Amino acid sequence: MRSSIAIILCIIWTFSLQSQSDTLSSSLNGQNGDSSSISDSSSIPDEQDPLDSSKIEEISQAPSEAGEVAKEHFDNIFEILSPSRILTILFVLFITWLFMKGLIWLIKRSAKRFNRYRLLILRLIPIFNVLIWSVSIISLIVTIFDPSPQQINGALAGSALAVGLASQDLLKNIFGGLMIIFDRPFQMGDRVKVKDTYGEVVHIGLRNTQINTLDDSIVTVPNYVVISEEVSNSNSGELDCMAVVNLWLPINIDTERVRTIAYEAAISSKYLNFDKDIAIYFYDHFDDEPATNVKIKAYVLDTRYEKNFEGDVTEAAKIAFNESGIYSFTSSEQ
Amino acid sequence: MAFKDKIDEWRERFLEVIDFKKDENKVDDLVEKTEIPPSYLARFGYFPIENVDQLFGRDYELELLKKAYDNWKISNNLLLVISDQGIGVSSLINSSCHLYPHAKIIDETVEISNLEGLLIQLKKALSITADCQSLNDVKQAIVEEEVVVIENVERLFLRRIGGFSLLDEFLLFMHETKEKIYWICTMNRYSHYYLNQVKSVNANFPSQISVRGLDNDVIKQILENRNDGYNLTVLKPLSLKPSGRRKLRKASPEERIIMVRNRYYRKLLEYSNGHISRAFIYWKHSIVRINGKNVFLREPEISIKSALGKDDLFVLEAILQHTYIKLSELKLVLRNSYKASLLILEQLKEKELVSQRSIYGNKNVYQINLKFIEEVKVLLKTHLNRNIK
Repeated sequence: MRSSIAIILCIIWTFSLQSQSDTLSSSLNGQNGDSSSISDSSSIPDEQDPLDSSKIEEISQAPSEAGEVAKEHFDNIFEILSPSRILTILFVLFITWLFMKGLIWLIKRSAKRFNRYRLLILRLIPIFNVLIWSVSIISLIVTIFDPSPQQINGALAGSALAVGLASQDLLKNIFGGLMIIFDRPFQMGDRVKVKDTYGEVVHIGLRNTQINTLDDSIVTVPNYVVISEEVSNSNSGELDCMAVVNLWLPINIDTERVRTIAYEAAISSKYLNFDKDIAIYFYDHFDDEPATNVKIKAYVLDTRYEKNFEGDVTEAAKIAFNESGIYSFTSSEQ
Repeated sequence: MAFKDKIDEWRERFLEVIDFKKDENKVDDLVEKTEIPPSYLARFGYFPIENVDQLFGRDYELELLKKAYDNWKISNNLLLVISDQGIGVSSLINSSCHLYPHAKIIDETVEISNLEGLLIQLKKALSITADCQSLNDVKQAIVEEEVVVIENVERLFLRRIGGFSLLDEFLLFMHETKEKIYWICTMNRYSHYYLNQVKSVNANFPSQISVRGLDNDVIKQILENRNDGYNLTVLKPLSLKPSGRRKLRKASPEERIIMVRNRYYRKLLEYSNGHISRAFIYWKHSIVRINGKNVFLREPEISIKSALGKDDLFVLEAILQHTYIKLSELKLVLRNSYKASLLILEQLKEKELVSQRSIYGNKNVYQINLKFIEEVKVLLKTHLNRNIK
């Protein structure tokens, strides 16, 4: 919404500049008698010299006319920004915003209802966001300002310059947002890590991306940061993702017994996606105290259960290690 | 008016699709259950058929069973019969005993979920009188060639750490004794899906038969046979869409009877999906009244009344994986307290999703209510991302 208002204001400003330049050029053209004489030098009739003495005189008087030009420029702005036009713009933006809110609510509702296709459905949000806002803004410009092709060209060039200078970061974010939507390094619902932030992508906007971290905080990352940083994606549009459970045990354990317990802890977890393989690895560590690190790599049936799975497996394995005397056996050995 | 009805219909459908709750009050309009005479109800019991002449629509499976037996004589293959619950696999196995007249069946009503129970049943089935403390002792005591059928072999595992050892031991035992014993195991399809993914059970059974649903014609035939001697009248459904109502209004009385009857059978067959037990459930729910030899039927509304949470689905999945589960076992599977497990089971019983059964010498076990078993599977697929076919 805020981006859209900024864009519309930039366009209005550009139009006002454009209308002013049109007025200026028409006044000059009026003296030349031919509008093409200014824009196209090749069509200047041989008998007319564009820089004859009278015109040099007029140009030399320009500083004295600066006040009038500025006044004319502001008149143009007031003409473009008439109360009825402002009201129409605000009304259309409000309706678009309301429509988007309703649409997002409906999409989220459907995603909840059809959980299996949740990620697929959520992908629609940023696409609709860009599409509907673009259609709304373009319709506003076309219907309210009715620009000529020249004005459109001027507006595009002018807005690029004006917006680029006035709001570099905003523009960077908007282009970043468009790149995320169309290049798709991640999508809504994916588990990503940007810089030190890890969590589920809950919003992809034109200016920023929001990530719901594992401690349920919403972190807003500007889009230009997202596209300039390394982003790791855990599930890439799939519902499931790999979870790694780290178990720390004494160094001299019965690995066969531990492997059986670790495997059964994983396969008995309700969060496991048993369509995919489970891998168990043993690593020795001798940093402070000698220890065995048992890594269980398995897939959870939904990215949202990643931490539940890790906790569930760790708890079950810990109980089993205690019951089977793996901890006590090793401590007595030591 | 018709246009308004149409709009209302689409609105209802839309709200249903997006799962929108417009009213938080929950007081359902319950209707008293119809009293069905026991003599009529007995015709729709779930007792397995034992006579092959009464078995319909299973010629292909019987042929496969015979072929598997012939194969065992050559290569001693173990046989696994995979089926959905309520599809009639017990009837198929019982009726197939003419292929191997001296077969011993360890059916679902006896307890084999622990080693002691399994040893007792094996000794009984293999006519062993010697004292056996382990499966190895049973192996040493086997003398004669036998055919042994174990129903719902998934009862040998419990989804917990250490809960798979009995199944592993028994699989090994079957491999070691397959030259003398022709082992036939049956398994619930959902248990098979799980156990095959985590324990590769398929690798142990070179011969497998997947029992599919019965054909619609066979189900209709069975229902007609069970209603022999009764006149059936199908009443107009209560929840008829406006388009359906218009069609009925336009039809002649004779056409109307046929239309209502055809619609009833279509709905019944859709619901049963080849499961004879579910067809019986639908039939029993559709009985409005019985006057002498006249049975009046009307399409029932069978649907899960309230929304289920993730925890409910995890419990239902645990029950489905084991086919039958005791409360003490469920507590271990869910890593829950006794009270919490009991509470969640009571809630699911209230929703008619779980039913209680007294088997194993009057011990209570819980199973998924056949009335909603297919719906539960769909929920597991859509909400828990399970890929059961």
